[in-house]
Amino acid sequence: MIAFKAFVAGSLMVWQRRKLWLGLYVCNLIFALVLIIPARSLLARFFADRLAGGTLTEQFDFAIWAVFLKQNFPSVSLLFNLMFVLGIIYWLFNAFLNGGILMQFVNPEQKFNLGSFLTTCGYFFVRFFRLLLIGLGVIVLVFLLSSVIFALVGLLAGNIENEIVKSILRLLAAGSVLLILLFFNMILDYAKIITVVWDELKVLKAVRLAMGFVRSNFGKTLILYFGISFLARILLVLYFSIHSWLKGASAMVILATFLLQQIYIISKLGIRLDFFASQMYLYRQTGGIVTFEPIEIINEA
Amino acid sequence: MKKCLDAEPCSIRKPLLNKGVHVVGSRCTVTLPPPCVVPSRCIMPLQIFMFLLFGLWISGENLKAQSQIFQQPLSQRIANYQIKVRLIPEQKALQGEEILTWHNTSPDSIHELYFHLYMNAFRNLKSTFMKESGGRLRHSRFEHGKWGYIEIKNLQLIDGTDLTSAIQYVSPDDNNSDDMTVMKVPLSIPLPPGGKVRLRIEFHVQLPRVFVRAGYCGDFFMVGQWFPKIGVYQNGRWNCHQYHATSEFFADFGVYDVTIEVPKSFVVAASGVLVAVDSTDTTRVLHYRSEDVHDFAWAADPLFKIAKEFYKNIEINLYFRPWRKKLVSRYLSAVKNALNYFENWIGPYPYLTLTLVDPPLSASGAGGMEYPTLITVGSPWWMPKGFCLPEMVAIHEFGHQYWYGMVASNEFEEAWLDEGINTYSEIRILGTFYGTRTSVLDLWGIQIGDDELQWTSYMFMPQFDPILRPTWEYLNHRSYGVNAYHKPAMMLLTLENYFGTETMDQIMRTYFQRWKFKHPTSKDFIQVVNEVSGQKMDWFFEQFLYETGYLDYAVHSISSKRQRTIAKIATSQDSLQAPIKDSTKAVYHSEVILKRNGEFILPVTFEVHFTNGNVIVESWSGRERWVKFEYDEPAKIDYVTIDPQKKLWLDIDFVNNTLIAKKSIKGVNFISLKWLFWIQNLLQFFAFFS
Repeated sequence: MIAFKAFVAGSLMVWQRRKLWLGLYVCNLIFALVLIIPARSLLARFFADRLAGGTLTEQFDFAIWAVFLKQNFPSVSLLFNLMFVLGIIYWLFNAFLNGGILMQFVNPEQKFNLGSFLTTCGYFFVRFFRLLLIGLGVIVLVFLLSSVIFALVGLLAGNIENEIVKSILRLLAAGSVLLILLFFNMILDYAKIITVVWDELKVLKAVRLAMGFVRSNFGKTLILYFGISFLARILLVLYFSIHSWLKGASAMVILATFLLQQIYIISKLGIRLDFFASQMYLYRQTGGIVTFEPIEIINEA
Repeated sequence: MKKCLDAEPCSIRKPLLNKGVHVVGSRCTVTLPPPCVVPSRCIMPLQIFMFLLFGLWISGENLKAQSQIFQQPLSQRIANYQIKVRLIPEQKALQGEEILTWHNTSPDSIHELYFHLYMNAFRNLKSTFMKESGGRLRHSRFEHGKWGYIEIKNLQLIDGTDLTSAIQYVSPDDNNSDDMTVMKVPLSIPLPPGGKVRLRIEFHVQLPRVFVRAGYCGDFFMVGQWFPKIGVYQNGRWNCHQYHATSEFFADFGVYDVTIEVPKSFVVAASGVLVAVDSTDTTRVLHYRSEDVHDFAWAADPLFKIAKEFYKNIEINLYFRPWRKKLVSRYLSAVKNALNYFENWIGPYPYLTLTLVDPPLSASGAGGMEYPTLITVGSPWWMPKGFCLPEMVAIHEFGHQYWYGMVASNEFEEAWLDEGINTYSEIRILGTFYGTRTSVLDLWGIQIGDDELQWTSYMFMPQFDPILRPTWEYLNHRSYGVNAYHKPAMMLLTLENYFGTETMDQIMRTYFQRWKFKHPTSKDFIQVVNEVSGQKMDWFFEQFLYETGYLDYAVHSISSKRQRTIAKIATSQDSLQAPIKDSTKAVYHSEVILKRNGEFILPVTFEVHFTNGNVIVESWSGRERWVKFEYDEPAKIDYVTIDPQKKLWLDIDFVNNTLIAKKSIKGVNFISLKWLFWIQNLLQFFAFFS
């Protein structure tokens, strides 16, 4: 029940922070545009004066894409490299923003101010960067663990003839690796919350406290986290269901598809904010901190 | 005790054979008991019949007269085998004895015999096969230590003259002294033209873990390339190549009488017709006969289930493990479609049985292989219906019953004659039954046709090797794939579009009818093409079979300029609209420059589309490196398309076959927006773990 309450309260907080939500969307769009502008130029150079461009609006054409890839392989691989670099920058950028975002949910009544938001982001960045590195370590550990899990499943499956059982075992292994990854990600979310709420300087202590919090509120935290994750899956299904209705390549359909896609992206960003806001609410309610004194951030500059 | 077992396909139950005492006209002379629709009723006569049949078989020569399948031999029957083999599952080994009767149909006296010992490819890492493959092939990896080999225990003439000590291992292709896949046996007395030699060979086979085509995996055994097999004496020499990573096989036709002994728990799938089953408390002995074929393969597995169907008088048996049940109807439907297509296209399948083996996933290296009257298929159990992999494999491997099985070209030296022609057949059959655009994939809005798939594989590597080259001399395994499968298939599709489907069908039919149960070469195929089409097509094959160039036409440029003076309006005979009479209208002088990027030349048509809707259809021989066409029309050029009907499948770039006068960014924006969305998603994925 508390998990559901946290979700509703979190959602309301996100709605109150619409400017922040919109700002995150604009950032996401700008980053994507950095990549899409050279990609579009590549596409235009290849397709603009050929009929193949028109064909691709009507159907997927394997042969045309094969020719595109063959003739633009260096450019395509450059774009992929750029995408990777951009992804890392975006990752760091989000780590920078997280402190500010969380502080918005510590003080939900306070009016959004870009200057103070960015100041808060900067204030917490070093700690959040450390948390990011811990998160990276966790990802590496989980992947190492996954190789152990898959090796064990391989050993187990080696004696099983039934291919269906083997497939199910492998799926279970992959599923459990994903769950472990998400579980640690959730702990790190609470570590971020603790860092902001208590202005905790030691990130390892924040992680330890977060683990303690999750342990003592295991069911609630899991229900909330995986409940919101489930919501994201529903959103995906909804998107594909509506997308499948949009057929053809008329200007109207293209516009409708674009709008649908952007609504989906905005909704996904809302869900991401919801994770923070709801978990913050849950932490406040179950961690015994019902009210907050806003942390005073001294702008030394 | 002989009986018709539920676990084994019993040829006696065929509706065909139930029809009467003397069955199938000229095709089958097995004398059978009266009809028996209910199995239990037929056990007694069946047992008696089996007993008699088996008794006759073990009495030797009577066999030929009593249990022959075809009234008249369909082939020359040069290499005939009687083999007794025992599977020893715990040792993953075979113990065998064969009596080979070989006819010298050449005008030469034969001083020595050559044999393939294919299983020695897996003897160690020094074999030519292992060196060439690096232990990785057909999406499989060789498991070190799980070696396979064949040992000749004893080799003698039927009169008892021992030749074992005279055995020599030779390496005709690469002088690799460590390769033991070909053996030479000198004869003490030369075999004169028209003579026969009979040999008794005792052999022991250690099966490898399934890597390529044959071997074991747990209790599953795929037994192919397993017995000492004589080479082909052709054009005054032995054609007996080593086992290569990028080659398949070549052998003479004959009769195979094979007795397989397995532990009783095993279910056996094999080439040919099961003519007798003998069981003891612990073992089962199965006797198969296969006529006018050039190989024999079998599989054994205690977990096999059998699905049986008939296509007319042909008994189709699919051997599969229980969890592949979902795929059974897909495999069976696919081969029945293929049987139907081939029958109507080039001729009927003459054999009485067709056996399909679906190996387990852990033995996938054994899947997708052809043997006479037996094919192996393969697909993961979960394969969705929109992905026609099971159908594709089944149809391709079945096609080999014609191109390899009956038209037995040399797969070592001219692989395109079976793989290429068969891939072309596969494209046609899949397109007919599963839709040209959806014959490989029709899932989540993505459609891929087999023709596109094969073309894509070809266009990435069109010019490293000529098609005609001994397979082991290709640059690598990928080049083998391109030149044995994809490029020849594209060549034949192009040829079909050049002649029209009717003439092409006549070509294929004539080629099959003329060369079935023989060993044709590329020259024989070209001769049939020339003869049936009434055109000398050597110029075509000289380019595409023997050369390494490529074909690529492109629209280089188009332009339209308004003329100052009103000129006489030029209209073409091919214009799709009536000539414009109004001479007061503006006239545009337009130029189209077409270019040939590759070395290969084929005549091609192109269309010039004008903004007023007029279309002029032209043709170009393609001989010049570039060519300019000029038009005076009352409208500007809208766009130009070379090969608008996509007839030249050998063209490696379809995109540059068109050029638009006014750039259009609609498609570009459409794709960009899609990409934008996926990049936004990807970025959010990164953000989630920040």
